[in-house]
Order: sequence, then structure tokens, then C-alpha cells
Amino acid sequence: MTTDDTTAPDPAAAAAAATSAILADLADTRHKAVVVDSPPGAGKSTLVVRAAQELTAGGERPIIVAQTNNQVDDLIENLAKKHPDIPVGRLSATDYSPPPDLGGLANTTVGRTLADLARCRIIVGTAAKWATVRDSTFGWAILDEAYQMRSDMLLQIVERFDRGLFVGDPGQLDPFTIVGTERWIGLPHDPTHNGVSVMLEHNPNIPVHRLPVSWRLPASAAPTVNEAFYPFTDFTAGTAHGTRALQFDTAAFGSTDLDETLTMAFTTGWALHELKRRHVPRTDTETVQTAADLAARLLERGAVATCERHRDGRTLTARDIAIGVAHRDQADLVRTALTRTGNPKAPGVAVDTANRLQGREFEVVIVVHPLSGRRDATAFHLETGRLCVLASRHRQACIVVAREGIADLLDSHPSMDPVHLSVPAKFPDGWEANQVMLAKLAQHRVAA
Amino acid sequence: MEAVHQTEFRHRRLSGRPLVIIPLTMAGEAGAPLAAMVGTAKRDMTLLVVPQPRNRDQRFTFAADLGRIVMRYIDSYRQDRRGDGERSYYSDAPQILVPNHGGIKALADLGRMCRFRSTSGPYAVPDVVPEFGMWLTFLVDTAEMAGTSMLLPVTAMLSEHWATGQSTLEDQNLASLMAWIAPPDGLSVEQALADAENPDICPPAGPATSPEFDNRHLAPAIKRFDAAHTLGDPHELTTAQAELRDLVAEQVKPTWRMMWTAISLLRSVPEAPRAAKRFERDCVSFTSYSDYRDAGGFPQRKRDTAIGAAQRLSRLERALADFEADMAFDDPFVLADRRSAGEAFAGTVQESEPGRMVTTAKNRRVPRPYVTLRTDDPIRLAAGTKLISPSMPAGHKAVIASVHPDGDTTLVTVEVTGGMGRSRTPNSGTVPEPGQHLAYLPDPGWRPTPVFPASDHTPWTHSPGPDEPDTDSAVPEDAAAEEWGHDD
Repeated sequence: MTTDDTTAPDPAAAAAAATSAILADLADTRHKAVVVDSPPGAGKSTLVVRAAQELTAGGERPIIVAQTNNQVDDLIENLAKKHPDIPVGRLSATDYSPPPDLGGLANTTVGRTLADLARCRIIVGTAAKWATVRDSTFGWAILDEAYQMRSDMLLQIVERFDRGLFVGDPGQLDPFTIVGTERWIGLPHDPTHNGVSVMLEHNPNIPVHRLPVSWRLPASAAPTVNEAFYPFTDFTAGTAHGTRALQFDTAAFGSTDLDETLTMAFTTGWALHELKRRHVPRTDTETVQTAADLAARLLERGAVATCERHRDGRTLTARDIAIGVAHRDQADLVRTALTRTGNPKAPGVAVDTANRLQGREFEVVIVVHPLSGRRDATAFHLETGRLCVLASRHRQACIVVAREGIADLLDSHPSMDPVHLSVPAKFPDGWEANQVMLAKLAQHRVAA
Repeated sequence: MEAVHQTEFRHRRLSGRPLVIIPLTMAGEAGAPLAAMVGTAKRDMTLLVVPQPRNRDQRFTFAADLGRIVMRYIDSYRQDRRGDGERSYYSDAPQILVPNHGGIKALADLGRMCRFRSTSGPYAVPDVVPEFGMWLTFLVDTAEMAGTSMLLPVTAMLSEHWATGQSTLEDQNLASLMAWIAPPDGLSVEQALADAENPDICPPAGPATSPEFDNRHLAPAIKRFDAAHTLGDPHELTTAQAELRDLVAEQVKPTWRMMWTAISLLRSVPEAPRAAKRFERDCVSFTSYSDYRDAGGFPQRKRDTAIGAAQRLSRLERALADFEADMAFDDPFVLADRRSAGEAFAGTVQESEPGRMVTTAKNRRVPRPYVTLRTDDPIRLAAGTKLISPSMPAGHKAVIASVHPDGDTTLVTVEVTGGMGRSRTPNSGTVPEPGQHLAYLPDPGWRPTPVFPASDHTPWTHSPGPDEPDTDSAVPEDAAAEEWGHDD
């Protein structure tokens, strides 16, 4: 692993140094691939845009592979804004209709085949779309969110490029399949693994960089997320303590436990809203309603967020808040609970599962803890990526709603997944990551 | 307390002449077969026993005996071909039934043990052994694919149709599953369950035998056989062998009887309409493997290659999606299950706009009627989802145009896109009418088969470079070699 010097006190300088090291490796023709590991909100998209521009300037005609249509749209918007002089092509399926923001971009062409995009210098498309392209080879591909791409998908697109820049967050949820996969366990080319690990397994001399600064996470969250989910690679917050702050618009009328939790979150960046100990199904009304009530209460009282982008403060709206859960039925129930709060703005709060929140960013995130009220800790609920996604979406504060007793649950369910030959142990282990998070949250506990 | 139906149909084909195999293995030695009871009828069974499972000569004698029976059965299906030329296929396919998933694993181990054996040179085995190994491996591979019927565990077939009060794990025990579904005459489910848990009354259905049986009866009997073998006394040897056979027979016979009771129970459940279509695919895959073997094809590899594994994964995922959609399409119970999870919905047509026309990209005017349904289901499908409907004529296709919650119900507007005939006005009965009650579920649809690089061109991301050691050859082939086990 290449060591990028992060001892510089200035995060901006550290990030710039890391970027130039990455670009230097891109220019070095010895490497078939360059890998960039990025912690949450470390400027991955900025790097992709920058690398695409550098490659184009060097006479290349790079392609960009993203995983979903939304990611492609975001990338094109960023590219077009930053570099209006580079013609960008969007390779898309027949039934794709571009969002209105994209239609207005002058330098962007939408095409069904490569022939439609012959004049474009950069071509962006989803992996699934690139898999349908035949008989063209490009010098470089930039693979965005590469850790979310399964190795069998990489196999379908790898012949389209000579060299690849793999960018992604190794701490997020791994791709999965619902069919049984025992027969491939331990194979270096297990098709259910993510593309990056399989590529690295076969090409041990590939330089691996990492971005050293999380611009999203506040100074209160970066060290905890770092310790829990990225124990072997250090990163820092891009902003100092005090740069980001939340204040209420109004004084609390009466005092409820909701206000107490919100105050804790506003002052420290974290809060654990702990409900009474009870074994409950995952659709537990009280937990779900509490998460919704917290969001509604926040909107009701009004909060002003100060940060490096809005130094004079900005009133938070429903779009700045998200509620993250583990299961889809919980998400449905939280949405219903939001309408039940009676606050007309509450239904605007984003509610989704960890899988769908990946890659998104909010000011305040309310998390229903995956282990809350459970009798057992299954591999699904312990998965490191799930908690990591939920605990690293926020720019200001994260509020966790949980039943008391998660610590005991963890103690009685040590991780005991079967160990297989030739399968490297996955670090950090979900059990340990959960313990670190709990220890942190215990300092911010509010009993309901 | 009794098992209840959770499907209206049996979604697996049940052959008129299935071959039942109950494999038993020896504890403490991976992949060492102990015995197998095999046959195509309740009263026509053969019991094969390996007197000393650690002895590899005896293991392969066993494999050859079992192989002859299984191959005779498989060959009996390689007779009638339907269609002509290259596209013809055998009109029927074999079906092997084992008690549980462990049985499939035992057959997989046996197949792996047999398929690479050489039929000449040192330690030669009879011709049938590698052939049998390759066929077993083929069957085990198909069993991983959802919806196939050539090798099935009976417990899985039973628990797909009947819900019991036990956990999924407990449902893999044939005896207790049968106790829930059909307790023996005069016994309540509770009494039958207590019996099912007692290994003296209901010995385990394999492949593992009861540890108590192993310690008390099997180990001493094998010891006596070994002693007779060393002494070379033919009389003693016959006695010891007969004793072992009787012991093992006593252990498998209850399971054998239960297997056939289970089969006749399953026969009483009507087969799902779409099972026939899936069976045709089984016949095609059976034919193609049979032709491959006739052409002298190689045994299946030990480990999948990168490209082979990716292709296989895509086929497995495809088969699972198709099978789940087929089940929901055929079976109102399964559909209800999907509806309760919001993955399908049913409702009454509120209004329809049968005359709606749109112009396609090719500048043709086509009918695209809008139909709005009101449903009580907790629908979780988004606009743009393609749908099929079990309540409309075949070929009916639709797309969700919008979903609006309306009080406790939801209004779903769908655009009918197919199954309306070729004319400019939809054929009668092809567009749902107000007041009609119908169900929709997502269309697993057609998907292009993913194209991977040619199998001899594994790209750099999935193969070690020219100067890197091959991960496979880094471990010498004979790393796990051991003494052959001649003990005379």
C-alpha cells in the first residue's frame, strides 16, 4: 500500500497531496490499475471528475462506469459544471429519460450506442449498460463505487478498457446475491465478491491509495467512524471543531425526552435515544414512531445549521433530514409514522434502508439501530457495512434510536461465522465495530 | 396441532418412477460412504453396504454397484427423443429423490470421489465408476438451480407445501416433518413427534447415523468384520458381513418406508401448471449432458474458473427469479405471500381508458390503455415496474404508471402494453374492465444472457499475471495425497 503523507496539519493540503500522488500513478504507464479507497464523504466524486479531466487533457478518451443511473446523472452534472468545454456522452438504455437538470447541459449528449457519442471525449454509463457494448476498447476506465460492483459484472466490462482507476468506499455494504454460493467460497475469483478485491487478489502490485480527509463527517464523528469501521487507515475530518453547529430556532415549550435527545445531538453531534428494554419485532411501533417523532420535533422547533458552506446559518428543511433503517418494511412504517405526526413537512424526510442510503448525504440522520430489540444478533444485523452506512451519512449530527440492551445482546452473541480456508478474515468484524459504536453512543445516552 | 397447506400446488414435478436413494456415511471420515438403499418402488429395494468404509477398494466396489443401478436407471431415460436433428431431446428425464439436503451433499461427495478415477493402470476402477461420478456431479449441479426436478430432497418438497410449527432446521428431519403432516394411525402429532425424536424408533434419515448406534452396534460389528478379514476365515467373514447388513438395514428401513409414504402424499397434491414447462427445460439439459457424455466429454472440473463461475451465478440467479415468479403466477397462496410483502398487488378496477393510443418511437399508433385499480395491499412497487397478471389472458403485460395512496387504500394506474392482439383496437377481454378484480406481480421478464470473455481469455483482473504464480498450481496436486488403503 502506498503511504500518502497525512501528517500535514491542514486537511486541504493533505487531500491535495493524496490527489497528486494518485494522478502521478495514473500517468505512470507501469500500472494496469490504480485503486483509491475513500472513507465516507472524502471527495470521491471530485476525484473522479478531476481524474477524468486530467486523462482527457493527456489525450485519452476515458470512460466512466458507475453503478446506478442516479450516480451517472450526478457525475455528468458535476463534469458539465466543472468542465463545460469537454463534450460528455451519456450511454443509456432505450427507456431512459434524462432528468430535467441534465437536458439543459449544452456539452452533454445522450446516446444509445457508442456511435451516437463519437464526438464525446468522456463517456459515462452504468456498468449494466457498458456490459452490452462490444468490440470497442478504451485506454482508461474510471470505475466509480467500485466496491459495490460484483466481480462477475467487472468480468463483463473489463475488455472495454486497458487500464482502470477503481474508486470506492471499502467500508460500505458488500454486493450480495440471494442464491447459495458455497461452491465458490475461498476461490480468488469468487463471482459474488466485489470487483476490487478480486482484481487486487490477482494483481498484488497495484498501487492502493486512500483519501485522507472526510469532508462530510463533522469533527465530532470522524474519529469514531474511523476507529469503528476503518481501524487500519486513518482519516480526519475536513472541518475543525466548531465550524459546524446546530441551533434551535425556538425554545422548547415544556420539556420532553425528544428535546433532550435533540439538544444532546445538537451540542455533541451524537445522541442515543434509548427506549425501555424489551424484545420486540423489527416493526415495533414505539421505536418506529419515536424515530418519526424526533424528525417531526426537529422540524417543528426549527434548527439553524452553520457550516463552512453557510457561515451565517441556514434553516434546516425536511430534505436535510434522513431516517435510516435496516429493513424495507421498517422504512414503510416510518413513512406512515411521519404522516401520523401531523407535521405537514414531515413526509418530506428521506426514509430508506442502508442499502439505498449508500452514497447519500444529509445534515441530520436519525438511525433505527439494526440490533434494537432483537433476541439474536444475526450476520445480517451485525454486518459492518450496514452500521457504517447508517452512521456516516451526516454532516452535522447523528441520532440513534434503540431499545436498551444491545450491549448484552452483543455479549451473548459473539460472532461465530464459519471460518473457511483461503478466505481472508474481514476486518473490522461487525461485532467489534458495533461495540466501538456502542461505547461512543453510551456517552451520549438519553433515556426515554 | 397439525401441518397446514401453504401452497395450492406442488411446484415440483414428481416422476412416475422416481429412483429413491438413501445414502449413509460413516462418522469421522469425510466422504466415506457406509451404505445406500436404492430402488424405484417401495418393495423393490437394494441395500448396498461397505463393510469397512475406510478401505478404498471396498468403497469403489460399493460405488461400482451403486453406479450400475443408477446408470441402468438413467439409461432407461435415454431412449425416446422428441423433435429432430440437433434440437431433439429426450421426452422424459430421470428423477432421484433423497431424504434431505444432507443426502445431496453425500451424493456430491461421492460424485467427486468417483469422477476422476482412472479405469486403467494402478488402482483401476470399473468403467461405470467415473461415468457414475460424472452423472452424479451433473445431477448435484442441477439441484442447485431453482425449479429443476432431477435431484430433489423430499423434505424440501414437503416443507414447500406444508407449513409446520417447527423451525426450518427441524423441518429437515424427515421423521418429524412427517409426524406433523401425517402422524401414524392412532398417534397424535405430539406423540408422533416424540417418536420422531427417538433414534431407537426413528433412526436418522442419514447421511449421518445416530452416534449411539455407531458406538453400540456399528463399531463392534466393523471390528468383527476386520478381525475375520485379517484371519481370512471365509465363514466368519460371511457371518460378519451378514451381521453388518442386518444392522444397517434396520437403520434405513424406517426411512425407506417413510420416503414412499411421503412420495404418495406428495402425489396427492396437484402439480402446478407451469411445472410442465420447467420439466421440458430439465429434459433439454438432461439431453445435452447425455450427448456430451456420449461424445466422450471430460469430467466436470474440481473448481469453477472465473468465467465459468460468473456464468453459473447468472444462470442460478435467473432460474431463481423465474421460479419465484412462476410460483406466484400459478399459486394464489404464494401470490398472497408476495402481496403481503408489497411485492405484488390485487385490486378492483375503478376506471379504465381502453381507447388510449400512443405513438411509438417507430411512429406507429398503438393502443396503450390506462387502467386504475384500488388495492388494500401494502404495495411497494414503483412506477415503471413491468407487470404480468395471472388473472388476465396469457400474454397480458402492463407497466405501473403511477401509485397514489388514498386513505387506507392505494390507487395504482397501470398502462397495458401487451397481450391485446395486433389490431389498433384491443381484442375483447384483453383490457381489464371496471369492477373486475385482478392481481399483478412483477415480470421477471426477458433479460439478455450476460456475455463474458471467451473461456480461454480470462482477463487480467481475474487471472494471475504471467509473472505471478498460479494460485492453483501453487498448491501441488498431490498435497492431499495419502496411502491407498490396501490392507491385505
